Amino acid sequence: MRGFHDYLVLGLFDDLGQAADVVAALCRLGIPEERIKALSPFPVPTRAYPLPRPRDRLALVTAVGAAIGFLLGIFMMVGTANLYPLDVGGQPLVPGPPSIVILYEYTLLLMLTAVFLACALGIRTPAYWGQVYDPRLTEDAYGVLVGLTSRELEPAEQALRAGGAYGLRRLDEMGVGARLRRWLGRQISYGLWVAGIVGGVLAIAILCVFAYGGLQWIYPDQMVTQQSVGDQEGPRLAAPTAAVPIQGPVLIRGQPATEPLPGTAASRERGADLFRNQCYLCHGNEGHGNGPLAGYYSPPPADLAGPVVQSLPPSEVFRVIRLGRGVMPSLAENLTAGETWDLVTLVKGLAQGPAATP
Amino acid sequence: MADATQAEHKWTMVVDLDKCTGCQACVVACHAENNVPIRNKSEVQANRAQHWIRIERYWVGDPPAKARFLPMLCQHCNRAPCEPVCPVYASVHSQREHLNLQVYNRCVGTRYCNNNCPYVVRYFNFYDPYFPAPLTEQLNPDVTVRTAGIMEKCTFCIQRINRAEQQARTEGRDLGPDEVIPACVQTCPPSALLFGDLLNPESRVSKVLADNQRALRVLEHLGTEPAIYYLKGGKSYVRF
Amino acid sequence: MGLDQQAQLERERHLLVDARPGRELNAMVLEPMMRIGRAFWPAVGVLGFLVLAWWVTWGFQMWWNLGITGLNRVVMWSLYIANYVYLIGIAEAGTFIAAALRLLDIDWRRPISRIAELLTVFCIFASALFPLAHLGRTWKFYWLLPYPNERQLWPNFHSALIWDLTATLSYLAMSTLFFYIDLIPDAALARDHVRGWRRTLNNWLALGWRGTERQWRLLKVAQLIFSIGILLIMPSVHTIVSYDFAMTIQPGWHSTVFGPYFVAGAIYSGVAAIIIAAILFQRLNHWGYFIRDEHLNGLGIFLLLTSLVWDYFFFQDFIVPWYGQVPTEKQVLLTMMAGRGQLAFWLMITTNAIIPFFTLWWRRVRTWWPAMLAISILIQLGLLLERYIIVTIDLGVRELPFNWGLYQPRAAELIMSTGAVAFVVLGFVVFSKLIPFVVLYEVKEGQFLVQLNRIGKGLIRSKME
Repeated sequence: MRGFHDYLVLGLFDDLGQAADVVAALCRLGIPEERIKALSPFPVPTRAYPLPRPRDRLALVTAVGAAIGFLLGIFMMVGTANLYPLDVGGQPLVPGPPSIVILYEYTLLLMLTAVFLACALGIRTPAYWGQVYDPRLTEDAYGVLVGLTSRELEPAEQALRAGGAYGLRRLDEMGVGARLRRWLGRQISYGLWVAGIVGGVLAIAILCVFAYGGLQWIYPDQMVTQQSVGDQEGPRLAAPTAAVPIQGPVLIRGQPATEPLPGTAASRERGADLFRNQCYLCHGNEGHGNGPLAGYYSPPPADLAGPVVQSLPPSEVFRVIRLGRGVMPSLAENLTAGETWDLVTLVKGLAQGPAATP
Repeated sequence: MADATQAEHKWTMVVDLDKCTGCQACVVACHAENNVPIRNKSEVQANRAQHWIRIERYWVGDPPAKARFLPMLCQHCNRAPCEPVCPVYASVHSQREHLNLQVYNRCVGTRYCNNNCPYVVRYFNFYDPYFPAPLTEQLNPDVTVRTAGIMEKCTFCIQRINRAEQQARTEGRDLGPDEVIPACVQTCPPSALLFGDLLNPESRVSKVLADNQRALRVLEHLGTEPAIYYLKGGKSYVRF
Repeated sequence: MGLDQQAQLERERHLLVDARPGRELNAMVLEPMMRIGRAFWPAVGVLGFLVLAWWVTWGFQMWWNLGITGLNRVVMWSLYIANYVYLIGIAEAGTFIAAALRLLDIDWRRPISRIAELLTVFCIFASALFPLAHLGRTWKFYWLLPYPNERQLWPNFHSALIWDLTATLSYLAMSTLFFYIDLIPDAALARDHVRGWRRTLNNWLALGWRGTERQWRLLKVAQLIFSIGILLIMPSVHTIVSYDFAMTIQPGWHSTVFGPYFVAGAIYSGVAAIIIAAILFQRLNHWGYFIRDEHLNGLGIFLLLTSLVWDYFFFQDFIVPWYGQVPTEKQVLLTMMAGRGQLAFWLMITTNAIIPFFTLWWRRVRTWWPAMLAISILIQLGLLLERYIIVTIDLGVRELPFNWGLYQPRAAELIMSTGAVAFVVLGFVVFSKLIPFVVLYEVKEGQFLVQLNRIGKGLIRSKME
């Protein structure tokens, strides 16, 4: 109804027959059928009232919903399988019987969702007819609600009363407030559609932002940090002193075995020279781990004069210099075996006194 | 220059039941290589022992009964029943290597895969793994440590396969016939376990399996087409 | 018998003949909704505590992981999945009663539709939480949902669990919508005749319902389409749930009869649950007017019928492995009947097959509420045991004898099971104070359609079509 009426009038009846007679009387008065509505507390047979059967488009909605569901199901089974193909158990990429299951479910789901939305929207709108109402309509009264122009008002109300109506109510729509409310009601009806669509699009957009990593919840379950690797990135446990006795030649895979050189003063002097070139920058003058570059490393360079390094067997010191350790690089390509042993002599003698002069 | 990381391999294992003594060295080796946690006594009693390869012991006959050992590990079936049932594609098949892959970071722990595995060789981490220090020093950095809620199983030491393939590619050659050795195969004292590429006629498994009267596969009638062949000759005490 | 006496008798026996003024009917339905009795808060307290215990235990389980349950390497699915199947089974019958009986135009559904549909909604909701609870990494559950993402992966549609997810969520959504559609006119009724916050709530729910012909027609057509749709979805949901088991090659599970077997069991347990709910509401809300002998009788006949159907399918599932004597399947049967499953098995047979068969044939029993209550509760227990047997006992017997395992539920699982049932009951208790619990417009419609006609010396009920 496009709102050409100025008044809404509601009459209540005890008997369905009375209400139907009054509807017929109103029709005879020339009031168009779209402006007459019959209300009841429970569904009555539609033939009781001489009004045309209300049209609904639910059949179309059902078909459209089912079609959308079917297509979505096809996307799930065929589309996703072909987007990222994976071999599982020798089954075909698009399995036959499972496809039927998924198509069935998706078709029914979308179909019924569409029907519900259509039904809910249809019930909710248009809302401005509901401005005249009586709670007795949910007890046992039948109602006739009619929209009237000012010309039709008197004869219609007379017809209602003559038919046995009680509890007559009238909504005078002449006022600006009433017109405004009617207009507002119609906007709300359309607004619900818009809100639904916009809301749906917004929800999908937000979902995509999360799904594609635009926003992330970082929680400590990432497999990137691994216990098996992490333990080897930090300081390693050395074997306790004398736990694994290593005397004699040092064996490093892929390199010939080497014997330690005697710890002479000459060896120590050569070692001091080498220390100035190779080791001082990190380990410092006296090997305390306080060289100019020490601050850049974590963990910091070891204190070579300290108890940990001093308690290491010479072969272990040799191995560390050769292979590197943690952040310390391997010096196998910088030093020969003999030079490395000279350094070992020097390091072992660090407890007695400073190593090098700058 | 050959790209060994793209070549097709059909990784196969041969278990010689006539040589297996049930010593469980393979079990220990697998624990060490693959960071498999050791579950405590009450967990084992609750039937949650976690060994990617286990020695199943069957008593046969009336007392004094004979014991028969069956090393059981993931059979890497070509028609693996565990794969189609995983809802998140954590259990998939590698067509190049003919392996059943378990993707740890994808697993949500529905445990459907083990229900469908007729060999029951998949393990679920019911608790977080506990490696008391200094056992943490022994963890293999090439292998993920699986946290609670994740399924795991034998991978045919895929980290060793990968390392060998990458080494071969760096050196510009094909993979050698017996270059890949999983931890259990490496450790087995009587060499009851053999591993290799069935597509390579030079590999030991190809030679052993050619025309072998003793070869059988476990639960073959289910049509899973496992990749592990068991050799059993002589008097058969247990019918599979 | 004189006409007056006959009329009196008909009115006593049949709700739809016993028309009362609308105001009286409204008051009868709305008064229990508005009144908070003495038992309400204690009930909410106890049930709320059980539900809280459920969620707290679940929190513990997410922290410590599934080690706190009784699961092990062999039996990797147990009480959680059994509860899932059980609760979703109960849910099946709720919408079945509402939808199928509406399509068949069976009148004794009229006062109990809402109770049935609400049972469905709450049971599905509770059941849907169990697959989440049994996940090893529950916080990653959203990986099971099909939506575009950067992981280069969609869910695996080969897997029965994904069909399960689709079916369960569809059923949850559709039954909630179905329940809501049926609720709208009654929410309008509550909106018109109560005061306070309930009025606001029901005002929102009523969607501006006025009762015009157009609205009634929309509602009825939507109800018709929904009834058909729900009747198509309902058996598919529980069949898909059975596919979780039937799609495996586990002996004992790999059975083609699982589909109809599960659906039969579902409707069976659901009808029993509706009977329990109907009897409780009749007693507690003094609704002897709405729920009469004829309704209990109808439900009882339905229960007997579903009991026979269940017996039939159970027998199919039993005789086939028994006759075939395939070693693994035979071992499953042996374990079930004479092994560690024997207590559960024989109890199940007693409560599901024997007791209903020997009691429900008599109208006297069907209309005596203590008997119906007891039988229904026993059937609930029996069907929970049936699911428990299928999930844990069958799973404890794998192909090779090394993999035969024992399962024993631990505290965590028991707390979660009771919590879920408490959740359903709590839902009923709370919602009974929010919305009208009798589908009053259907009762009024029925009373409008059914009349007493005089044929000769007798008064006969007739119904307008």
